[in-house]
Amino acid sequence: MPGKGLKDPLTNLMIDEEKCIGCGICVTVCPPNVTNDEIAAGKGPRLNDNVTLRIEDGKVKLVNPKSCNRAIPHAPFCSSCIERCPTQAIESA
Amino acid sequence: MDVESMDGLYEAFVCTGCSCLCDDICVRVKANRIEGLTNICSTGKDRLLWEEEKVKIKRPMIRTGRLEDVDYDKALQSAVRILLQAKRPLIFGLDSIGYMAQKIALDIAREVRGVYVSDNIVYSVPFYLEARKRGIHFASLEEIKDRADLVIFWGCNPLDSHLRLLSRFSVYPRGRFIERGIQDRTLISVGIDDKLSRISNLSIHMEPGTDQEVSEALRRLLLGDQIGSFRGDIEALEGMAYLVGKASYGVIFFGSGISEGTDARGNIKSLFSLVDSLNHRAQFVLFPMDNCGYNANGVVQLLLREVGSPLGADFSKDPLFKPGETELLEILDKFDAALVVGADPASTFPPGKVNLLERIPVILLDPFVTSTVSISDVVFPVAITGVEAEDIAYKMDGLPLKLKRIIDCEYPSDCEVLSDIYSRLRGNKN
Repeated sequence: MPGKGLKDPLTNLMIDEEKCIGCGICVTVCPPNVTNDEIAAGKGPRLNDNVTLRIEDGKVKLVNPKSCNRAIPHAPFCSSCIERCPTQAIESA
Repeated sequence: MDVESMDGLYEAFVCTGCSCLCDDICVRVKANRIEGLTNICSTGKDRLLWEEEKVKIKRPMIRTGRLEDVDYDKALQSAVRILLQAKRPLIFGLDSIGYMAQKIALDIAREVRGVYVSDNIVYSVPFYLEARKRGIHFASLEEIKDRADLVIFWGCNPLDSHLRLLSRFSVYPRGRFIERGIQDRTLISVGIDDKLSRISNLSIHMEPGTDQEVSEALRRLLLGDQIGSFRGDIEALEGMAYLVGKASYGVIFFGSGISEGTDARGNIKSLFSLVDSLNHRAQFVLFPMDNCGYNANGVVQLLLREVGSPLGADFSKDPLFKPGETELLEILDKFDAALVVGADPASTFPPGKVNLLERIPVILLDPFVTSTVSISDVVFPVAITGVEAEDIAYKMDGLPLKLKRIIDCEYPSDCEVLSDIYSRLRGNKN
């Protein structure tokens, strides 16, 4: 799981928890997340929802890198979370 | 209550970090402590996992030269004596407590002929005065999510004050008629020059204090009138007029950036004029962002129900405080006692005004050690509402939600302490 200065090898995403404010924008715009209608409508994921990104204790966590479009071969390139993050807490390594 | 019996997983828990009152929080409680929080923003986390930042008040205290620990009954006696002796007590704070506690505080204010004022009043006066004159264009957050294709933040930054407002209620979620979420919406920030402008489709930068000029110029542009001389970036404003003009449902969230200070009334008046004008071509709503506690709207709802004005109440024989006309800070020297609940005036009042509180007896109800403790004469430790005590809170759009108790606590709730004070006051009078 990526933290400050650490990149996730599957997705090349780097999450800086110092910068993250837990606004949840990344969770609401993440394409694999929004296959769930409730999450697409703004609700936070339930604990048993199979999601890519989740906010835990006020910080974003990449909980399931395998489901991220960036980790899926031949999937369209995705940088939704990076582009929408207001604090630049998520970056591409 | 058995401590173990409260352990477990709580879903759909309501966060009291701000007045968004997000009701999708998952909380794991173990051994009477919060172990983990899911879906919560950093503001909510700081409130619920308070151990890292704050220190709790341990015992009731009264001042006899210096603050000394006493039992609950003695503190209660002291508080009742102060309120009975006072000719004009101030009941202040109220934004960060539950609705039921706010209601009992109002009963106390009636009983002791006091002045009942919330912490949020400074920001809300211009809005409610103007709304009283012109009527109100307002909508719930659910409706905004379902219909708004244009969202404007004017003089407020939800990424500082209401962190999940964008992702949960206004800009990013998919709504019934906004099926692609952010792809079907436009976000404009006015007067904000930081992380919000990074993610806005258009950001209007302006000189401080020119809000009226900008809103008036925008209104004229939309009407097709000449705007004459304009000190700001006219091209950006024309871009904004284009985006506003093609919206079918717009919302303007505004905050302390324009509703505070000497220009506040003029600023709000010009925003009302803009929204009135916009409603001739599409549906537009004006949404005030409260800056204080999570239940600022509870005070508004309560006062509207009980006294007819959302701006406070003066129950004294010769009222000095006229809601909407009198500034609380201007008449602070007229009070001879204060009951402070859910606020920290020693930190938020200007230093010159804190001295005025220091010279009168202050009764404080707070879970945590704050600067106000040092100027208080009677201090009650209370349970944290929404974590250690149940109550009701009103979301920023006026929706009431039930706050749960998930942690066992040795301290009484705000509601219990205020009820005890109220029943003793009535007992003493009878």
